[in-house]
Amino acid sequence: MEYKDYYEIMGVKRDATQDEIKRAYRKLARKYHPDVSKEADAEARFKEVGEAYEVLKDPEKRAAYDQLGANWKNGQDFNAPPGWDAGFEFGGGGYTDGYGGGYSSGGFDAEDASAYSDFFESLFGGGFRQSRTAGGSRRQSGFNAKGSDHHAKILIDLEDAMQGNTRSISLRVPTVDASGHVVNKERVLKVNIPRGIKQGQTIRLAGQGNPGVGEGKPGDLYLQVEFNPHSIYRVDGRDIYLDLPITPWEAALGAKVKVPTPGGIVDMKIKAGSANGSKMRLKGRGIPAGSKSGTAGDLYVILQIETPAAKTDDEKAVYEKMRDTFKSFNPRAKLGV
Amino acid sequence: MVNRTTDILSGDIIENESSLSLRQLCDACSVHAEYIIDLVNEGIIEPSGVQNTHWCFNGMSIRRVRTARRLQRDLGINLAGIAMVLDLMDEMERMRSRLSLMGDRY
Repeated sequence: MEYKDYYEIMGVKRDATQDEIKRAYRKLARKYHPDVSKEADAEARFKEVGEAYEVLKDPEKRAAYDQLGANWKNGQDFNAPPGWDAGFEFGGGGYTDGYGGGYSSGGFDAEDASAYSDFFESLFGGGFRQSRTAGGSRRQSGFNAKGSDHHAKILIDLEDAMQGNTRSISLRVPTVDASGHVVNKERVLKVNIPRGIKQGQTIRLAGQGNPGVGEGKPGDLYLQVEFNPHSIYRVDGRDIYLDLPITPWEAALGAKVKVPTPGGIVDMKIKAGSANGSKMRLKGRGIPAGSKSGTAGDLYVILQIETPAAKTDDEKAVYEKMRDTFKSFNPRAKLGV
Repeated sequence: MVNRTTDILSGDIIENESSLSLRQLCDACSVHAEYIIDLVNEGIIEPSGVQNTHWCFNGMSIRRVRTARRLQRDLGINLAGIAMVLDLMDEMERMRSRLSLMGDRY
């Protein structure tokens, strides 16, 4: 298991005051909060910072952690020395009830159950599990409650939304085993992706969340749909955008060109005198309607005029002829030159 | 331990639902009704229907409530602050999607 340098993670010195630690935490929590931050590893960093704060904000845990010594490096292979925590008792003192950064009021949140690293668990796991087992013991006394809901993201491709598809998703579900320990169980589900689904929509699978307590029903599973970026299309709701390169003469004289669409290749007419960047709409060629009452999206084709390089003498002659013919054309007129 | 299920599951798209009751929204977000009422009073989610016994929420409310709860829990933001953060996040989302529609050209 890897040693975690909580001071390094929080960006504070080992002799930082509790106030300094709190300020550092607030700042990092804002920076990496998964709802706000768009940094790729925001969620992992947020959990890491939360874990570091969980230890450093609690004078008891911090003292115990400090006792390991200052010579450990972040990521170094680590095993807790036997009896390292002699004289410390975690789970008391009123510091350890907060879950996920100390602001928690709603108690145990299933999504956060796997938030702590092995390193943390090996050091402070005891008291943590005790409180969990206490909750679990209610199970035997006929306590019933609906299981909590599970929320996850599912990545799909544009093609899945066009035609509908089946996707497998693997979920890590924290489960309390017979001895009261929290273990991550892997669960693989095959989920129907309905035709016409949009980016950001949520699929609810009733009864696929966490198991209920006693005779309580299981919770629901919520899957938030995100699209993988596509190599040529961009998606906005049910509309699809495509950059279509065309030649200057196709733009000037008009032409019939082939256009790829997610539903297959179609012919499209370019009007004579089309400007660079003009947007043409192919109605109903976007993502199909999700329900009978809905409407299908459109495919917008954005014309991109590409000019060929003049390599041969013949090709140069054409450009020279254009120069001489279009004498009055000044693309920089608006710039006053 | 791997628990495999081979059945193909089909679900509902919650954004298409425009008829979550207060109770259903509470269940879906694992929060108390009082919390939802606070969010409504702050204008963070907007139900249709006048009295809270007849409130109807659309499916989008679920994500808004959950985000609000996380912001409050993790960053200690109060309700007025959450309302503002959520509005700014919506605005950023719109700008990001406009940017991505422009592609890599700009």
